[in-house]
Amino acid sequence: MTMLTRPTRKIYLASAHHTSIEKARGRSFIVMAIFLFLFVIVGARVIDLSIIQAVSHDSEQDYLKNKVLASNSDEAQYRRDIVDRNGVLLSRSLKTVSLYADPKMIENPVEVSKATLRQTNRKKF
Amino acid sequence: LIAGHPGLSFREETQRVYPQGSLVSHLTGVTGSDMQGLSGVEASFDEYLKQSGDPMALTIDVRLQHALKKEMHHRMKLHKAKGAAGVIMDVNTGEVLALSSLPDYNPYEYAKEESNALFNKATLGVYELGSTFKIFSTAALLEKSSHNISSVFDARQPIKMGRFKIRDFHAEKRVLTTPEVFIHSSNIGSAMMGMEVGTENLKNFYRDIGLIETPEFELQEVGKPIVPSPWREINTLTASYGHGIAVSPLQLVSAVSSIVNGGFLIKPTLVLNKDKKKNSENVRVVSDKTAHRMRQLLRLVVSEGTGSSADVSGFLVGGKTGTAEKPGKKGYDRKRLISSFMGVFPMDKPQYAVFVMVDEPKGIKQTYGYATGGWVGAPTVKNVIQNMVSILNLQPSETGQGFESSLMRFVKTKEQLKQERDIATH
Repeated sequence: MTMLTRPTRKIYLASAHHTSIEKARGRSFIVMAIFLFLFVIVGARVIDLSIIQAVSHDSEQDYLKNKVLASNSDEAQYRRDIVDRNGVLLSRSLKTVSLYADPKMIENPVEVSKATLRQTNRKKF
Repeated sequence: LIAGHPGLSFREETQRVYPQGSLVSHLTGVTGSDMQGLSGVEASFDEYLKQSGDPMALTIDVRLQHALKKEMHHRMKLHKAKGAAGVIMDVNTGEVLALSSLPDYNPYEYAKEESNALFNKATLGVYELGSTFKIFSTAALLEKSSHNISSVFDARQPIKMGRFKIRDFHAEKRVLTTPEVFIHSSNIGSAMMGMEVGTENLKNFYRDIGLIETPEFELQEVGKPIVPSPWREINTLTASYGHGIAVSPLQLVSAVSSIVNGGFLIKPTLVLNKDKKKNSENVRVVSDKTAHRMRQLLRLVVSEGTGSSADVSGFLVGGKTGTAEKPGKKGYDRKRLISSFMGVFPMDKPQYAVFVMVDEPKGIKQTYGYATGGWVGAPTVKNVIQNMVSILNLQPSETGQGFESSLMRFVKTKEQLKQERDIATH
């Protein structure tokens, strides 16, 4: 009995055409590898920022509030007086109180601004 | 809260207030809403001011500052001028007692002001200051050991050099002695003095008294002088009477102080007590003898020469007038002037230097159409000095009478000149 062995065949395209396709395959592999590598880096950075270095703020508002408080703290705002040779005041930092409006909580801005102007006896802000 | 609205509420904030308003705004400068210094002392000492500690004291005296600004403002309005700058300095310490630049600005409206108002003419602006520079060329000449005070300069003809022609404003059209060149402010005579001193010597002398380099000062707003480069022989001639070289008023006052205080270089300073020793380095720029001669010459300008309207009796005022033409499109413009007066008093023992410069004054009836340093600068300085006398409670002195008389034999008075003319015509 003869064993029919199927000859394992590799298909080779033997022509000039063939070699150029092989070359193209090789090139696209390199391009894929580069992109994959870059994706890995970006992914790693995303994980780093969102999980490892994550800062927890409850909300954006809280964050903004903190920022305002920080810049308003006495230490950040302290400034010496400037005086002349006889001690006459030329410049001084004073605590003042300013009115502010939170736009999120105002539904009827026109009315509120009119009312505020009336209250403060002003014609414009 | 207000109107019972939940969206409105209050917040505590720090604000920088300037009780003197625009009076000292060029000096203090301003601080932005984020408490960062933007200009003046607020900017140059930003870090220092942020540290806790004693108030920062300036050398300024607000009362003198007010007097200076008031008189400058008055003169500016009178002559419809574009601007003015003034400095009062202690000649022995270099302390700036008052410094004003007009127009000035409201520190609360900093962002809205135009650039002319924000520009500090006294420290940042550099100008060709004209004949006040004769103080320096004359001092340089007196420093030359070979020079004799009685030597004469022929000021009968304008000097021609290349395309330049040097002429006299207050033309005397005669042969002048050194003191006469100075008190009649002869450009021709001064140019000849410059030639006699020599280019290298004059340049070195100007450098010694701090006219060539940007001065050290505690403000950011400090102007760099404009010095001829390359410096040719013609520049020596023009620099002798203050043209072709531009410096800031602060620089001029410091240099003059360094001569009249006895010859010791002072550095202008705005911060009180910061470094008292610094100014006692005692770097000599001119000899005792030259300093004394210069004091006499400055006094002569007021008692006999172009600066007579600066005199305040009992206070031995000395000084030098300056009238410079501003550079225009075609050379110098005879209509647009920088008129100034550099005053010092009392001349027998100088204490204060008072400088006032007016930018583009117009001639008026009261000054017979003139807008020169003698007509605009000198009377302003006189008024400032009168104010200083009452503010600082200065006592008049009689001891200085005849202080300048030893030079009088080199000066022909008006009567003498008239006599000579009469003899010649008869």
